[in-house]
Amino acid sequence: MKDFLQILIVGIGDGSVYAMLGLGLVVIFRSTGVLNFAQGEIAMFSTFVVWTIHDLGVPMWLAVIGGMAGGFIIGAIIHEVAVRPVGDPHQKPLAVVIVTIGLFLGVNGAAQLIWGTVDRRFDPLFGSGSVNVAGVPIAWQKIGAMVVLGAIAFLFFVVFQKTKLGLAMRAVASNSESAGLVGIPVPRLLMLGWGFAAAVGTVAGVFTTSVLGGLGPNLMQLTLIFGFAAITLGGFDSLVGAIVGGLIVGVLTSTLPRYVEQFEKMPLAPAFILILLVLLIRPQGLFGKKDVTRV
Amino acid sequence: MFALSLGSALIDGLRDSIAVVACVSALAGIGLNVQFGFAGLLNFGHIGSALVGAYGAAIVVNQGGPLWVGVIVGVVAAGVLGLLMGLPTLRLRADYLAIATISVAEILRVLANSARLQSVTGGPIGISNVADDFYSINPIPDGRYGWGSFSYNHNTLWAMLVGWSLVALASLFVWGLAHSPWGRLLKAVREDEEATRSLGKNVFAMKLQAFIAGSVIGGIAGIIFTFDGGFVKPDFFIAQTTFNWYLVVILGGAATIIGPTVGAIVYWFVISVFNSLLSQAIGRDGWWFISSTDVGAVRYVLVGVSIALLLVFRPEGLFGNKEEAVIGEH
Repeated sequence: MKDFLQILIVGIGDGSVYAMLGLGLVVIFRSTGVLNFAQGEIAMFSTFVVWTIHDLGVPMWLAVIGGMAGGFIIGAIIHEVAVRPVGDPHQKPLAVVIVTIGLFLGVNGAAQLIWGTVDRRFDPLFGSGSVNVAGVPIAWQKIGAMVVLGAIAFLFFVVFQKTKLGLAMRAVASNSESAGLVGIPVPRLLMLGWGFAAAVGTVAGVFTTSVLGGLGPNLMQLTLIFGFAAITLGGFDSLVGAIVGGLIVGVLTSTLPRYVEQFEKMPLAPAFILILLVLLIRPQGLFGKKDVTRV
Repeated sequence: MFALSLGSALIDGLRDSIAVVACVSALAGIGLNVQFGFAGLLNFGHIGSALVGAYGAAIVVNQGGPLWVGVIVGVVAAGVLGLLMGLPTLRLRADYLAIATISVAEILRVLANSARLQSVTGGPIGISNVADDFYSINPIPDGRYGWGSFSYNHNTLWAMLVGWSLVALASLFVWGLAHSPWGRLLKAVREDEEATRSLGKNVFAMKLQAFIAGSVIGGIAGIIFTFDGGFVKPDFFIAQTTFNWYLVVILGGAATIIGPTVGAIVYWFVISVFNSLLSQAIGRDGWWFISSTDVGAVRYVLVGVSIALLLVFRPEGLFGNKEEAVIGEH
């Protein structure tokens, strides 16, 4: 039982990271209808920005904020120079998705050029210690991931539901053409959406480094698959879905390999089976809108 | 200033553009083009087909099976993978298909890499010495053929000969498909699924057939790749390679017959000239912020930027038809 609780907590902690990455994916998908395959790589890049700032002697928490700001700028620039010129994603969905794989490669290569391919040491944001709760040791890092996810979720809720900016972004998500007609600056909001997504991705990247034990250009490639599993389960267009989906994926990928012999050392397998099952049974996910066509 | 030798870079480029690497890319591109160009299916896991083909052939040969059985097993395995991947996913929207296929390919790579299957797949080390049978049926007498920088030994020449013959065969096959009633129907599915269905056509079956055909051709690319190098390992089969193949297809022109082949030749020419110039510029001491280990990274940037630029400025590629471009405007 103690063993199980410990694994469960690890799962929830990992799941929080998947949820963060998923949130970024959902924000972009809702506003532009694009599945951003470069989300993980942008997160990796801005995590390197965090590392660089921290390496200059700046305290970690400040470096993370700096990295988020950097990520925001990178996301916004990428939207302006690479995504927007391709055209309306609703008209040419394939073209925009393929541009995101171009970004995947380009951003990965850029990170390799700037920081090299040797893994950098990256101290966990919340240290490597743990706390005993009723005899179950829980790493501070996992608790930190849950708390930060909660904070991000709260922030997203406030921004999207309570502010004028959020209202405008929701309008763009629901019908960008009409939103434009009533005077909402659609391209600028899309740019903001990409910026927000990249900023959240930074945090996901910082937490992933502690799971992998270091920072390298391939940091996010597996995490991205888990993030995809999270939003497939939760629904591509649901922020709540990304969080719930992320946590479920995290718990499944930590418990199943531990208790089911067939999945031993293969956390990717349950994530993938989950993706397939959801696509087969309920393609719109748990919380998604049902406009997903199944022909 | 650096003494850059453009001549030697161009020779490197020409060598690579006719080498086995280029015909592997061409074959993989032809397969991807059937799925993506003709059928409009966004398969991000095409490398999985190559992996299954390569490992299928390598495992059979490694266990002592004859070469032809290995080839058949590889091809059939790639076809079965296409069927298994396609059945649950082809009813879904493009981005779902992309997620599902990239996950399948990653799973396959992790499986091949896992310690539990090490006795069969060789785990991270892979399987080596699988090409002996392939080269033992080489009819070309021992020796070197060609002129100057373009001379190859009998084995390389044999691999090139087989590879490019397969490219020609696959192109012919796709040409036949595209000009058959089946091909016209497939394009109709791509352009307007609803309309095609309302004419009583089985859209799902069409997509599935195209997906399997593409997967088989991708598997053949994997087999040639394995026999050329003589070994397989999981590291070859990363998602980035699929993305490179997208560039190959888009560069040449999606939904064309010779597009992927020309795309592959141009791709390897440019990459190789660029690598050569870069290596010369970097030398041993590095140049600007680029050091000699970064040549691969520069290629990633180059490929990524090219994909974005092509889609912005010339989505139909070199030979594509703008009207028909699957990624162009409808």
